[in-house]
Amino acid sequence: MKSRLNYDIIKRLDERAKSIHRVGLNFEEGLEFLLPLINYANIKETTKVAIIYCSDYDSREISQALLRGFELLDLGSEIINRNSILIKPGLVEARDFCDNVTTNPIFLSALIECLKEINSDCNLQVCEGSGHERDTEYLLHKTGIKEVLKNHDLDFIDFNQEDVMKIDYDDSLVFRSLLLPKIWFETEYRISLAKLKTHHRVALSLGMKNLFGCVPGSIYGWPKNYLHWMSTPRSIVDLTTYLKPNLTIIDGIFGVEGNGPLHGLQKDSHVIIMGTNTACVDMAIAQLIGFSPLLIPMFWYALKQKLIKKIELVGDTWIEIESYKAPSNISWLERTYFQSTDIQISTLKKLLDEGNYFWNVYKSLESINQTQ
Amino acid sequence: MSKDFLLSNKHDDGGWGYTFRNKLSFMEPSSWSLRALSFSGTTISEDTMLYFVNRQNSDGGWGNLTASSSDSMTSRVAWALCAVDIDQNIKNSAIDWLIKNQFPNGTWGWKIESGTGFIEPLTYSLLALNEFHYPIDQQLILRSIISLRCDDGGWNCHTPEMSGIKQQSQDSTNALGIISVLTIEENYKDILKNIVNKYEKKILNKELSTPYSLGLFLWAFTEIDDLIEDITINNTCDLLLSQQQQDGSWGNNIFWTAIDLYAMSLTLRRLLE
Repeated sequence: MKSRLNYDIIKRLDERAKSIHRVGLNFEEGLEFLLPLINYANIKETTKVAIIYCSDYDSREISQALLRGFELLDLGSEIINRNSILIKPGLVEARDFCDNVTTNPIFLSALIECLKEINSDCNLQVCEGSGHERDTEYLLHKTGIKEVLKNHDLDFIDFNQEDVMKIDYDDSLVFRSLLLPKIWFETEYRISLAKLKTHHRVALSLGMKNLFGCVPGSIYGWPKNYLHWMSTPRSIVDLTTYLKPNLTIIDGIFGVEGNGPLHGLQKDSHVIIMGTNTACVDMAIAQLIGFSPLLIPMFWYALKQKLIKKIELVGDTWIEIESYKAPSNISWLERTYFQSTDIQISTLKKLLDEGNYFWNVYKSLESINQTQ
Repeated sequence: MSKDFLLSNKHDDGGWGYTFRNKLSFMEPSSWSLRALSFSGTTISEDTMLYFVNRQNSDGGWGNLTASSSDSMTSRVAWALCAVDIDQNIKNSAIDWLIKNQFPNGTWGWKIESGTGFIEPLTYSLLALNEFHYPIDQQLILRSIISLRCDDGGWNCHTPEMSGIKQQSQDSTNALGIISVLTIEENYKDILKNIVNKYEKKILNKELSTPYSLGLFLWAFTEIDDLIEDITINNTCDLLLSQQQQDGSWGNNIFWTAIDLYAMSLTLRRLLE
């Protein structure tokens, strides 16, 4: 069983140490451990990530792009044989879809069309547990999702009000167990559908971060602050390990750069990116928009949990995505992927040194605890 | 009819789920159903009383699910149990739990490990303590309520500022913010005047239209009394009733129906007083 941090000690730390923990800079292993994020050393397995050009929120064009993506990833037989499919969009707040904070309703509709085209008999469900909005009706209306569901004759399943089941996982980073929606585990094929957004705390809100919406507010609150308190990147990776979406689709037709995920600026990237390995989809996107995965803690923890494989980019690999602006509090992250390895490693060292402040304070409190 | 809807959706263990989909009972919709049924004149059955009694944790609190650790749902249960005749020790230990788990800045969080308070858990904790006439540091709590207020005068579910960016309030939390101020501050008019005016207009223009938020606002408006026009309460009732389905429910959702039944029952009581 993995040993974990003592949260009674963490509660007593100063604000700087707590902040380091929440952002995840207190990585337990050393710098050498993280080098595979840049050189794939000792990583033999490969995973495909498909990148497909899509110029706009045109339903037909999106459908064709999605079907092409499924083909590139050899998903046809995967999807066709499933009796039940779940789509988990990102509806964190009741915002107009033009803000690009929530899943675009045209995109969702196109995905539903595609899935019905491939597998007309499957039981298809749209499920989400909004982190910031308890009024589900208002959420669905404001985001434009209500119309989509009505047009396709589908009900919305609110994860925040669903039956849950306890999932134990001894080898997790922070959560020995979680109460998660039963329906997720009862569904044969689960699709995480997220927007391409930056994030002020974890750098990126993509496929892995989208899984926060699977955590029921009925247990963990609105907002799900508990997950941040326990260390946001660790929580993200634990959820990815617990939930293991079968497919992750990222809508980067219009992404969000700058102070995302809620207050960023629209970035027209005209891409859809998808893959069966959520962490690698996210990592591929980080690289494409210029953020070095070596410098983003959620990828450290993904590597630690053996989620990282060698990425084989397939599809419209000719696409050059313009680099994204990072949130203002981590603006140094911009274009780091294009820096030399030495410079990236030097920046990594500084990040890990900041993490050492946490360990110094934590260990001294820990030894006081032990002597008492 | 709403009463019948709630009663017909009660589970065998005496509790309720959020929706008809739930096989599990949760403390939150069960607490609301208890309070709503009690306020509407329904006698609460023994199995429901036992549902709460048997699930109280040894620390005096409740989690939302049977055997889950105590968290902010304790406040909803404690507040609901004030509406019924139940062993005082149960209520006292719940109040003790709430006091023990209040954060130093006067707020309450969703989970005790999370360290940050928010308006919704604060409001329900305050309601429970108020029903118990528990002596609280009113100034501290009022300061924390005000500190959670957004620049537009209302409240959201998280914080008024995020990464230096001012946040907007939300319909679904503004009613709770209003209720929290009413609970703690006698001189609430200045604090609430603008937000109440805003929502009077929204009701008049039918801009508030969902069972959850309408129910919370009807509750809040009924409590405000002197700051609100009767016509606003009437309009809110009308909007809410227009949303009610043939089976007496709102949205076929047990949780929303309980809130709305409570709000309507409270309004009726006040009208008759």
